Amino acid sequence: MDRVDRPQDIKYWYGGIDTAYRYTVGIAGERFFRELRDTGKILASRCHRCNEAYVPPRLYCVKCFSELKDYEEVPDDGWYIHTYSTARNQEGQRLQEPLIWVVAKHRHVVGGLVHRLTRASPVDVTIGMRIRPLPKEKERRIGSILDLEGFVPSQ
Amino acid sequence: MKSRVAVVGAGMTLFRRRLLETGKELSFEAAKMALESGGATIGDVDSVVMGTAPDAFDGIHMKGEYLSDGAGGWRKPYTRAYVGGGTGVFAAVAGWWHVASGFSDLCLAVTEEKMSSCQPHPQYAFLTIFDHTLERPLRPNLLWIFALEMNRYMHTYSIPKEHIAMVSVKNKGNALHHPCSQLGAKITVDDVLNSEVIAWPVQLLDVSPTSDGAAAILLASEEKARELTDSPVWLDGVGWAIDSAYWTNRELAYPVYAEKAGRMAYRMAGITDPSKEIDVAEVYDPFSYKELHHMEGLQLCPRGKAPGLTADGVTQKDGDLPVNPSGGLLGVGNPIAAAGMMKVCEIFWQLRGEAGKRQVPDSPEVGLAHAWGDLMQFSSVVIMRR
Ligand SMILES: [Zn+2]
Repeated sequence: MDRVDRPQDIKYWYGGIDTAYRYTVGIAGERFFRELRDTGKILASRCHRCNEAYVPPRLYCVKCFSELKDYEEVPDDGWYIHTYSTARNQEGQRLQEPLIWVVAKHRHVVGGLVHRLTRASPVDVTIGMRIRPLPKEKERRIGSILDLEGFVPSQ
Repeated sequence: MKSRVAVVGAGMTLFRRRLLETGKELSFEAAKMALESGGATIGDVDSVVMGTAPDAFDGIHMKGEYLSDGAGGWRKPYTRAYVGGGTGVFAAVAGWWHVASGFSDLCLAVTEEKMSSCQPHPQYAFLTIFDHTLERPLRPNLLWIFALEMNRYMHTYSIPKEHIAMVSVKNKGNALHHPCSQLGAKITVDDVLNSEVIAWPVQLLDVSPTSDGAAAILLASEEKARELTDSPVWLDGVGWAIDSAYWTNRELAYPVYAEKAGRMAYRMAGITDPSKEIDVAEVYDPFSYKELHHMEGLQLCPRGKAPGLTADGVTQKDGDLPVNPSGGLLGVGNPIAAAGMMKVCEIFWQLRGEAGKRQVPDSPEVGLAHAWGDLMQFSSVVIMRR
């Protein structure tokens, strides 16, 4: 086998796989995204057998495999940062303001959401910090995870 | 009762950022080497397993079929094994069940990845592994997902970044002695800590490279193994497990999937105290912290203790528990599926005393190879014994 030190010596051919997709959000997803769009609230689905609520909501409980039919609102109070990361680059572009990504968990539900943390400086962010979701104003919401600006510090 | 399974041959190509060979050609080279080292020909092989990770890297949809003749699958029972980054070790597991079930006497397990095809960078292929509705609109980058996990791990056990950096220093140093390695280098902890921050706390030298490459092993039934070689390496335990694809559901500080897979393999191999009974381990290390995180999940040390052991030199080639003497993904390179199989090959060579300058001392008898993948949720483990 040749050791190739000069990539330009390799013959190549450009091509692509051009496909586009239209994804359905699913049964639990419909409930979640409609609620987020219409009321700005985050929904969980509850397993009565395991006595746990799941965010994002899902049709089934992974533990006992029950079908979940009951949805409930997750209170804005109770969210905290499970972990975070900061980056000054996205897709090769250098950013003016660093992005802060958080895994947001809630005291009373199983699961969590990954999203941006806004209105905060990286130096002030800590694991365990209390946060709350920040929906966009209603007329800008379309039924997408981007209907949330992200999370913001609670105070 | 299932029959005992041996590895009787191993082979791998160079791992490089970009190689001239197509995926089929890479597969052929690794497969041919495994056959030759096992003293067999393709005509002796009665089944073939192909391990290769996302189609998006090579840019060929259903690349398992595409690669089949390069892997020696022509007109044979042929199966693609695919569990993301866990594929390399899982291909060995799939080879094991072909033989253990009594179906095959000789099974060739080949793994391949050609990441350089993906433009402008394989990183873009990773975007498509996330949930299409909940996550992809946020444009998740694989690196910041790992940064989130690494930060949680460091926070939970108050781990200094210096200890994590020592993994990169060790593995890139070990890889200097690997004839196929892409990124063997003598570096210092300061080099790692001063390298570019990609997504805090992940820095450039915490990350394995993208690569082209292939690796393969030849698996045999006990009877066939005794016929082919005086020094078979037994595949005495296999394990694999998957956690939820809702990765935000998990406690990111601890890899439960690795514990499940490890315990399954230990039980099968009759191992009760892996930290004492495993003589040499190849633990999946696409990121520096993952070696440590996985050592803990695999019960090779208590939770939160792997960084300290690394700082104390325990995981060095001549330490009490050598980890990644090959140089790992950080040093040898990371052609996804082939990288996991490279670890199986390394344990094969270590247990046979054929690892050259990488050889760990005191004639190791029991080794472990581990890989991890899918959406940070899957582990595959094999226990090998001479
Ligand atoms: Zn349940």
